[in-house]
Amino acid sequence: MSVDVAMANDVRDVEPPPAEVVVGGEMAGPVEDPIHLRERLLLARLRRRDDRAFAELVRLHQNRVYDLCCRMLDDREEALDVAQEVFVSLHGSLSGFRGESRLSTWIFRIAKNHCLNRLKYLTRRQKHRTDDLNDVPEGDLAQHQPHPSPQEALLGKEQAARVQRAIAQLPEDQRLLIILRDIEGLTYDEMVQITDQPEGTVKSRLHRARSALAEILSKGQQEEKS
Amino acid sequence: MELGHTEARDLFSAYVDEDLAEPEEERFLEHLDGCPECHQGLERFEDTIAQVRGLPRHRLPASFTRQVLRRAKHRNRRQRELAAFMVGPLRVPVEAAFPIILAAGVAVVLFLLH
Repeated sequence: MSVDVAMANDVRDVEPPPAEVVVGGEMAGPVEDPIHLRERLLLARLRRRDDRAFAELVRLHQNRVYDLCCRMLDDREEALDVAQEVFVSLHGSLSGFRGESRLSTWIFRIAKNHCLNRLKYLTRRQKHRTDDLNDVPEGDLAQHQPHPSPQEALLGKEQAARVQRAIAQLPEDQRLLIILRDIEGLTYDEMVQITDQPEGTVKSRLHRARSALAEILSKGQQEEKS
Repeated sequence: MELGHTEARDLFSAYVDEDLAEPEEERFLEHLDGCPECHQGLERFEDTIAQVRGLPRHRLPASFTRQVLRRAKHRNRRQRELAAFMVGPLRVPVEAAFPIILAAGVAVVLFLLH
């Protein structure tokens, strides 16, 4: 089965629990989250095959998708290609999105599948090489730390590279959970929808992932000291 | 009942995510209070998460959107061409089949007449 076919089979969305609010002691009906509403409006335009709406969708989500791909693949060139594939596959499958989950959750789910497929492909081809994600872009660092001195910037850059190297050492499933929770800041509900795993499993695997990461970083520090 | 080291460490993630029920959190903090090892372990755990959360994000150039649109349109065009290629060969034989069937029918009639 080709990658595209596999993606087409997996671009289905899942329904999140509706948001509810208590008004005057009684449960009111589901309340539209304003971000969700904005997404619905965008989706309506996308269904009318509005190219400008699609460009807006790409602009809204491209950096998060690319960042996820970079962290998962640990290779910027591959990440750029996969990020493009994600949006191209979205372009062809928007009619399959029923609007029952957040658009961002659906996009992350597709991005996750593309990354896992690419990792499998790279492993099969034994072509996978670790790109220097250690080269944290200057612009990115400047945005993260508004006024670092050159020395602080260098230290920050080295530290970021160390953390990225440690993340890359984790197994794929653990890496994904760390990215979704601690980098993307997603809720457990969203993580359940993206990973297709029960909440309890997500939580316990995330705990293992964080512990493993702490262990890797701690070992690295000890080795540097000795 | 007091928590053991392993039980306490298993709660690190839930504690960081503020996902512990009140009585459980109390027991957890009680253990931590009397256990420098677990206390240090939690600090290391929290520090790790803080470092991950503080990672600078990778960003794409503005040209990315144009590249995606171009690639999506190219893919759509390829799909249309592929569909035309698959259906095309079928259309010609169907159109060509009519005179062939007619000729075959005439041949059968002539054969039967003789």
